Amino acid sequence: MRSKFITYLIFFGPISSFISGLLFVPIIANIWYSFHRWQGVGSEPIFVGLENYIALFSDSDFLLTLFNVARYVSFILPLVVLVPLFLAVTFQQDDKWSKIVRSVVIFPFAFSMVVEGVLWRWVYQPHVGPASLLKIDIIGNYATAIYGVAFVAFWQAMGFYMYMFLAGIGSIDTALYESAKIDGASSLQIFRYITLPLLKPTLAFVVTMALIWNIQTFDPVFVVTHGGPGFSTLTPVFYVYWLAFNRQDIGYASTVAVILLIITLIIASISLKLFQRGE
Amino acid sequence: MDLTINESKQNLNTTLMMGINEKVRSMNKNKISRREALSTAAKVAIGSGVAIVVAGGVAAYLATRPPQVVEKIVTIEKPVERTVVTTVAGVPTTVIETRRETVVQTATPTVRPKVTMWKGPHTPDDPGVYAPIVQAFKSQNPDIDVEFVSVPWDQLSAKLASGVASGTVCDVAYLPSVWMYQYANQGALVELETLPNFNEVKSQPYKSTPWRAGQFMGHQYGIPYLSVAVVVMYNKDIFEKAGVGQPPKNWEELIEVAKQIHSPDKGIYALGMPLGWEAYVTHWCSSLLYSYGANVPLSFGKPIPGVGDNDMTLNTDAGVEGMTMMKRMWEYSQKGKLTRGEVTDLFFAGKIGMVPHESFTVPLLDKHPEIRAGVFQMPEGPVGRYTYGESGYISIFKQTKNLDATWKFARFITSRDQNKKYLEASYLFPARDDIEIEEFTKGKHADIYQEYIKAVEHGRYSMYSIYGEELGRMQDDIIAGGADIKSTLQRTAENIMMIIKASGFKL
Repeated sequence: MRSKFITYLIFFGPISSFISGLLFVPIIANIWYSFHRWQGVGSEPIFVGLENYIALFSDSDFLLTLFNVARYVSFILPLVVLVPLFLAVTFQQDDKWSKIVRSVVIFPFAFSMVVEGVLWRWVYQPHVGPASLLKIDIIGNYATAIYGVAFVAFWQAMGFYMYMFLAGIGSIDTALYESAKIDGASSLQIFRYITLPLLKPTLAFVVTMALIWNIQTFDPVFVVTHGGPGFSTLTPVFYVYWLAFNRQDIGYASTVAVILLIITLIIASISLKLFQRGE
Repeated sequence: MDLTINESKQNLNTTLMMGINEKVRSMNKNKISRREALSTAAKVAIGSGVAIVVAGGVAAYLATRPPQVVEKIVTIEKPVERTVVTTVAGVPTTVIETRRETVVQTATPTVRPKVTMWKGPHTPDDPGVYAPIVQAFKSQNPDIDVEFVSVPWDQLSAKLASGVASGTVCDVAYLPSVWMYQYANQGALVELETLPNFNEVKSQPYKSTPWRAGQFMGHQYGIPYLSVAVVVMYNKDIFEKAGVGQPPKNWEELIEVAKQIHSPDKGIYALGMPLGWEAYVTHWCSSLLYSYGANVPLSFGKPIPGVGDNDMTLNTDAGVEGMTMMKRMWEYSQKGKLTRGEVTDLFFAGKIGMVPHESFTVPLLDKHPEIRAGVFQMPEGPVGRYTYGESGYISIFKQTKNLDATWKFARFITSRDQNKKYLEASYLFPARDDIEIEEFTKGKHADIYQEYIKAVEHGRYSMYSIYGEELGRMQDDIIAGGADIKSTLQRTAENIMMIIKASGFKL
């Protein structure tokens, strides 16, 4: 038994320590802080029980961030599913043009969001950027700013999702396509009755990951609008950052983070369940 | 026994098979169940987690515990004079006897006092600028050691906070006003008026606003070291083309001038107004509100008549009037969610007529000789003229173990000559009237710099670091979001009071 334990210690020890240290310990610490009032380094956490959680449900700013992220996700989710799927189906061949298009589409994914955010700020600039030609002010307008940010995130992630779909398409048996062609099926029918049903696992992955990542969006908001104008693009994760580093209210920020984790888990689970039921 | 070849092969196979089966049986014996594997893995994971937490705790304790003062027990010999009463021939007689005796005493090792200073850099080579200052101090005070540590700004805040929390902070530091208020509120700074020779420092010709802003809750926590102020920079060509002779002196005049020069069809915008929280503190909004008498608590510097530094008057008629003016200004501004930097770029592209600026923008004029720029003081409102202000202070932490030496050093570096050495290297404005920097009095942009120096006295310093985002949001909501002014001001005032309370400030 002792030798077995040593074997497990050798094999599981490093990865367990890694996971415990970087994942479980911060999550547990976060939950612990969510029951405290704490101003950060230099002050002592004071236990306040459920006070932060009670305050959260009457916090109009938190509700506003949920509304903002709902608008953000509802805009970006169809885009990151439909456009990359279309691109993957259209440019799946190994010909020269398909390769060029695939390289161009994945290009933004290779860059940091900070760089791209700055670039897009210039694109959206209503006085000197390309947007000035259209006489539109996307990120200075309360109604449209969130969509401007979401589009930047979509633009960056589009290539990644396209490659996910390409991998899914690549795993479909080509004999199915050949027999469908022999039976006289059109391209649309092949897509509808072969590609799409067999891509369901990939679709489930893409939708679930897109949901999780975009509910937790931070960097495009931080770089492009910094949550503004006003709080019109403030998302829940940005709100956590804002509470922690601007208000120095670490306890309350931890509470928002805990609730956000629960919300994300629920939505991701529902998404997976729906796809499993579909199978 | 004779065996055929086939029989031999069969026997061999049977033996081999038996061996393999034995091995398999033996392996099966060692095989563990999935439950057992998961259980062991979970134990290892929990054990590792606990070990990490314990190790982290021990490391954090060791890293943050205050330094131990070690006292040495020494044995010394010293001559002792004592009076001994003896009897000589039956008569008590007093004689004085000197003898050597060995005594054991506890003694603290003699350590030269050392003063450690932390400062964020204002020059490309702060240690180089400070070296002669420290040298001059040491030549006057050879018994005091000084360690000057230049800490990058992005690390200084955390270093100070963790230092105060763990008892390892420096003796003296350069603190921007907002940090000074925070540490004063935490009780981490020395009340300077309790120190000897304070009146000597107080009697120096400090500008009244930076000196006053060095006080918090009735105590002086910092000696002013340098100042920052904001004035409005304007494009002379745009003014002249529109027939505007003089820059505006008050907010109504500013609107009148804006009407004259605003020409969006030609790509000319009268005012540069960034959105977001940073815009509040250094641009129009805070100056405008103060000048209407709308105050937010924890504002310092030039006082507002009839309004205390900790009064909340944002959600009063003064605030409504101020933000109504701000909304009128937005009509003559560029649009879009632009940062300060982007608005500055538009100004230097010749597209904006007037924009508030801190002094570090002045050198940009040399890069844009095509722009003829002038500056004017922030317009005056119904209760006076105000501008965003900030000063840097030399403050002493209560944790210092060498208060006398530290106080001596603080007074030395803030003395006229030493202060001047630093300001000449950093191109920052003095907080006292007896320092003249040649660049500001005789340089190419001396007239512009003089306006900045005048603006120092109009400075009002706010704790924007804790509620600036809230004020920026208020500004955005009202001018760009079309929100109702009165209710937005009320919401902002309530949020600010909540933030101040949560931040531990007692008003």
